Amino acid sequence: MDKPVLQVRELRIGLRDDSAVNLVHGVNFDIARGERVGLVGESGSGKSLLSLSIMGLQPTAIEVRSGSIRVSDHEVVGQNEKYLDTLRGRTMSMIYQDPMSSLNPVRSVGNQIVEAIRAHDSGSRAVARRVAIDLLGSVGVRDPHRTVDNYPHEFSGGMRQRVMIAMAISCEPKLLLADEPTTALDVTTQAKIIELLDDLVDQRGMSVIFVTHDIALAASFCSRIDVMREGEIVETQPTAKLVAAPRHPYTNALLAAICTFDTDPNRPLLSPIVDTGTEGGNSA
Amino acid sequence: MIEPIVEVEGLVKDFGKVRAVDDVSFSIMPGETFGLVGESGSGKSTIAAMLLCLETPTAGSINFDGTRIDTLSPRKLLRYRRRMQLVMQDPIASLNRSKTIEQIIGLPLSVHESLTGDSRRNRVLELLDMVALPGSLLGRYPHELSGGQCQRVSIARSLAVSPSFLVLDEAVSAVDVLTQAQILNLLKALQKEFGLTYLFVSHDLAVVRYMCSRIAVMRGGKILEISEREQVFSSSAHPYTQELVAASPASLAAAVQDHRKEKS
Repeated sequence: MDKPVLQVRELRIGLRDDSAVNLVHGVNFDIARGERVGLVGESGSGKSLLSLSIMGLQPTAIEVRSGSIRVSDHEVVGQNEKYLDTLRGRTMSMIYQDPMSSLNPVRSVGNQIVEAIRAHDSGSRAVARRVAIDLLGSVGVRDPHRTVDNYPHEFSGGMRQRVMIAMAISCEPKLLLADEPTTALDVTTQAKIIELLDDLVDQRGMSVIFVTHDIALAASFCSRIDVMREGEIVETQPTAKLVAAPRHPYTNALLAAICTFDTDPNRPLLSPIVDTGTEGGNSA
Repeated sequence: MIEPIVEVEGLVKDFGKVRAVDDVSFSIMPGETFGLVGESGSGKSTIAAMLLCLETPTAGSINFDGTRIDTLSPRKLLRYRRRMQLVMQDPIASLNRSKTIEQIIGLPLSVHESLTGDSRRNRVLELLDMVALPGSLLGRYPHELSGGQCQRVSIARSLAVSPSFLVLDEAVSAVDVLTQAQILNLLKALQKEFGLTYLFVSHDLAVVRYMCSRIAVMRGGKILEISEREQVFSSSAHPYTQELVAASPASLAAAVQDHRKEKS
């Protein structure tokens, strides 16, 4: 059997300056080749922290206290930046929620993709540029020979997210981390981006961690869903099973809170059992 | 016969050369929740701003409770302002971060009702209770509250002057699904208790379906159709409406699974 692309063991994350504040409490999970895992939870559940830590990009105020993160059999925890840079891009790569603030506004998108390619590959500029144009075409950016020289502000939000995706897959990573990649987009654009990711992931055999607060969206894309709450994974199940028969009351609450086209408008949302205290931090 | 509380006729708004709102007409009945859906840039927030007299229409008219309000002088308008209030999308950014919760909810009470001291504080406590927040939040600042709590403060502030009409502009779009459900339940309960009329602006069709009895679908500044709730989700809806429905996460889940089945 193949080794998992990602293996997280007993991962603990907390505030660097305050050993009493722990944010992720001993999380374990594996992702197999080609698997798409949804990491679902509310804000503050630790899902983004977990995915940033896999990239070694956690904020400086945050530290991984103990445990192990192995991506394609390479340990991430405790490594220096120089080593992590050899993994980022080629082994693992990330797309973020806000494409505008993740792109450099004063450089053309082509130059930014070329830079990403050449950081990991010794090929010439001209070759990298051709690859960039191909990539833009494959993520559905129109007329890539011309638009490769455009600046981020010349693209719409959806097109910018496509550029981000092109950059993220430019070095053919084994693991793609997508942190709320469609949250800032309209529903119709969101649908198109999800469809694009769906095709790209299949074609390239990537594994994906899809971080979102939207369990319905996760269900549309992922083969498995891990539900996070207050720094722990409270439930892991294949998507169909999780949606049909959630085991944890919190998962049930998340599913019950969703408005669908079958929701009865004359009844309150949520089951009464979970209607209290779920808002997180009565910060009193 | 019941008259509409809001009546909009031939509304147009130009920003320079861009026509943001293009000949829009609709009316909202008292006690109703009227939904306005569309993608960003479709003009829905511009309409909301004109209804509240925060933007002046380029052409057309807005009647509120039988009076034309878009041409009123600012002084005369003040009387109507207290009857229509706004709840915005970003619960934290729409509250003044340097003021306490008491000051935030108390401001409209000072402006419109000349309340001061204890009588003002008691009314603020009443309002907090209405939105199911504890009185202990009085002296707190917005950054000490969760997003959901801030949105409840926003709602309490808007209810302070006992309005009859609330504009909810993407009021639950920035919060988590559990918080969203609680806020939607709260809005429905308040509507029932105080007979409020809502204009509910959103891009999330499933939420709009849950909240609204009638729904207007917008694109490029125009209203494509106005219909009863169930009609919007039927095959007789405008093709663009059907596209929006299909793109909603609720439909997306099913569609992607079909797509995958086809491929394999």
